[in-house]
Amino acid sequence: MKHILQIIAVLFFCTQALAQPSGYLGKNNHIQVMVGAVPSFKHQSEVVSSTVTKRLKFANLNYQFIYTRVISNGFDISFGYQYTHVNGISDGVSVDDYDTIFVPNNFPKSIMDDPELIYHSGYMALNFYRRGSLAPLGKSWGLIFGYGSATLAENTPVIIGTKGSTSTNTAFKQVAELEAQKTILLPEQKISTAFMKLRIGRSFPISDHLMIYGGVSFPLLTYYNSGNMTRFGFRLDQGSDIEDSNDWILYSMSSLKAYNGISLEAGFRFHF
Amino acid sequence: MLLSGKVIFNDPVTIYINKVADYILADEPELRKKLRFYTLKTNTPNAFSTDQGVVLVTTGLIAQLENEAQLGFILCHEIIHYVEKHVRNGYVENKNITKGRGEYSGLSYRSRISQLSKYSKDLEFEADKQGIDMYLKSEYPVEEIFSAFEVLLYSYLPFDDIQFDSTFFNTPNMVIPGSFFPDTVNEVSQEADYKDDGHTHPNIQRRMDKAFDHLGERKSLGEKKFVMPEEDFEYVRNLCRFENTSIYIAEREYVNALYSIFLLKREFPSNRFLDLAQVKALYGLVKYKNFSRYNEVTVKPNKVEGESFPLHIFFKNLTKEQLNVIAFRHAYDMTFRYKDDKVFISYYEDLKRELAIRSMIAPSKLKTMSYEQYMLAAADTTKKFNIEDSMKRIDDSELSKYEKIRRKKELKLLLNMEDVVYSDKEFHLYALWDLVSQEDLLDELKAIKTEYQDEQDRLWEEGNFGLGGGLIQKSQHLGIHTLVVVDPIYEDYKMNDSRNHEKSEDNKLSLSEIYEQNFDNLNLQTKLVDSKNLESSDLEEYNDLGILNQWVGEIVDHDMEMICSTSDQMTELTDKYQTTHFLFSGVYAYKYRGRLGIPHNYFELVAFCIDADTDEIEFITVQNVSLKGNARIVRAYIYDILYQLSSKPKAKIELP
Repeated sequence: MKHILQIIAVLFFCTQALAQPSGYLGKNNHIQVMVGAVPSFKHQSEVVSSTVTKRLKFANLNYQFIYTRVISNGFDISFGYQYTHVNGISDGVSVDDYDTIFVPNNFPKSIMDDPELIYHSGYMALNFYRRGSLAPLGKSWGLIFGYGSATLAENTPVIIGTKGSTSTNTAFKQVAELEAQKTILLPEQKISTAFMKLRIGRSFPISDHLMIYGGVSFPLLTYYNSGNMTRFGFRLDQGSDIEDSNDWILYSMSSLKAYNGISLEAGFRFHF
Repeated sequence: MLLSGKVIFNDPVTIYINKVADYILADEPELRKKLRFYTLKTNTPNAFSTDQGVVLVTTGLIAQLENEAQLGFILCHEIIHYVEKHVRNGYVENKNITKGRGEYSGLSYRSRISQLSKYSKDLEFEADKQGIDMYLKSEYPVEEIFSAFEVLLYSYLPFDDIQFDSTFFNTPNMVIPGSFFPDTVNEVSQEADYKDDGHTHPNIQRRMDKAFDHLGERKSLGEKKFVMPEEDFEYVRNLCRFENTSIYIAEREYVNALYSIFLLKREFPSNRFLDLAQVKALYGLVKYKNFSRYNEVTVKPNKVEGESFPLHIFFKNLTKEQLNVIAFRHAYDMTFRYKDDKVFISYYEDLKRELAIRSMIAPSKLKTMSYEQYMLAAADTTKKFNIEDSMKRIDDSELSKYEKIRRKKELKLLLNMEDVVYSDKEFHLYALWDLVSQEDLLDELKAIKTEYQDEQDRLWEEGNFGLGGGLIQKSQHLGIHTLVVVDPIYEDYKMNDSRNHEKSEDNKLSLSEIYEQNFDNLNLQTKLVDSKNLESSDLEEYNDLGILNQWVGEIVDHDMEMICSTSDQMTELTDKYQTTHFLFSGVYAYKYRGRLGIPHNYFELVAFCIDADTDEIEFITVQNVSLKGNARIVRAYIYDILYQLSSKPKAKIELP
């Protein structure tokens, strides 16, 4: 870690001092507020959740706050923080250990509005600008290296049941009754992630201090790890027997993976 | 064109042309008010008018004229082009012809081109005829109409055709053998009745015939070749001839410049301008010869007609050594004639450097006696001893075999000495005899060479490998505090690559504003010399722009370490603007259709800053930016350029 910090310091200060970029009108720093939109997961009707609704959900959002320093006319470094509410994904729930509610295994996928994993991540991005460009203006591509952690609080309640008759049925929303309800308390969950992403974007100046940014990011490498063993998860894979495996750990991870997928991004930058 | 700096305002030549125009149009005051007459600085002999009533006469044409009446006829001809709206009509008609519209539809391409040429010639005949009618209302003699045509016919030659004096370059200490100059010249080949197919103008013979027919027995109101004082005409013509010499040098036509200087020196033998021009022209030839680019500044002699031919042959055949010595000798002599004149000294110093570094002359070869003395002495020496007898003596001597061989070789050299003595090729080795024998020239040359080699070694060690001149990426962060930004350019092109005139003009204006904004942000002491912002009162600034454009054109053409011919004028500008740094820049915006037919925009930004002290490009950037060149983006890029120029290096990291 010490060496990594040293490398970053060298990159940050020495390179910058050598290149002496002008930045945007003499401003080599900017902060950015950005919203990332992950495409919506596939929806279904057979929900086992406290909210038995079918909504048109176009995207799942994350929120980022980024500080960037221009190092040279073709390169800048960013440090970012991302905050996300991760909705669970499930294609069925096995709760044999809690109760005797019968839940068939061949449920289609569903999004569960709660409980939500709270996901925090931090990253460093190295952004490169094409030849002839003037960072941070114009088209860029970057590599993002980050670490994150998603947690579910101890005793998070979730109401499960089977879908009953539909009470509302419109093109945009479908609400069904939840029958055979049961409240269960989920144990604490914690998943850590490390990732590398590719980001491609473009910025447009709108004033002497402000720019808007639009882009897209793709995961290149991801690693997930769960530190503790819980007995409940949101299941993605069909057919496997929950009793005989630890697949349930993957259910939470699957949610997280979906949130770390391809993401459309838009933001405002303030240059100083 | 008017604001390019090449058109001269309010100078004696323009004032004179306007006086002649006043006289011709004395009876037509309304027409006179609509017309403006200017001089265009170029060696090309020409005159033309525009739709807006601007008549331009080139210095190249005035330099060729013999009298005021000839100028009068040429102005009449151009005035008719304006009155009859030939430019506008010609443009419309040309469009119709090239696109095959109207009466030209159905004609083959070849026929249309032929029509294009015919139409243009018809306009010329019309301008000649009506021009004659206008001319006849003056007191100028009708004969001068025809002499004006002859002036045009031979205007591709220098302004006079006088046999070149082969002793022109000789000095009291340097004799250039006459054998370097050929005895023959290429005859002038141009005939009045040349084939004019494809030309926009009819041939001179046809124009003269038609003029003769049109004139008939008519006469003008007088026989005056000069209505204005003849001295005024000669003064103006000389100004143009002097100006053209400068233009020849700026455009790197050094041999033509030297022929002009030769012609002018007949009338003005002791003239500083001509002496300086001569040194500049020789200096230019030396530089191009030493940098192996001589072909760029010399023409094939077989293309040269008239009496300047021997001069072209002379320079074509000179070796690098000979040329360096001739130029250095002249520069040295001039520093004596014009003592303490910094301009001459700067050329002298650089020619000395060239002599030491690039002339390929070993200083030890330079002789300590003059060419004439040497020839006399050598002739005496060869007479004084018998070589055959000396050979025999060596054979009979007790010397060793090897010593005999060595002595015999030396004798054989002496045997051939008669050839050497009378060979003209080595005249240059004797041309600096006085400097070699009396002064420290040899030591200086050796010191310069040693210093240069040390510098090259240092560069090699630093990994720079002795980069020479050229438009290479120069260092940034120059720490410049005061800067002159010269006439920034904005050119916008449409999808079909045609220039979007309206947008280009608008954006050029905003470009100036962008520069002004950035000056404030960077606290740069700057001056923007912009053709678009010039008021009628800014005559001085306008003339500055002319000098700056000529200067930068020359530097870009040279593309090597070299003093520009306009450097002396630039000294005045650096004093005036309190800086030696001049920035030239341009934005060129383009559009194209990419894959799937999606339109894309990009722009090129070119900027270079020249230090007038050294005439070197100290900063250059060429960027191809894949973005639309809107004001905010261009501003950021221009800010970056100004920042690179004004900022100082912050850190120097010493690598272990």
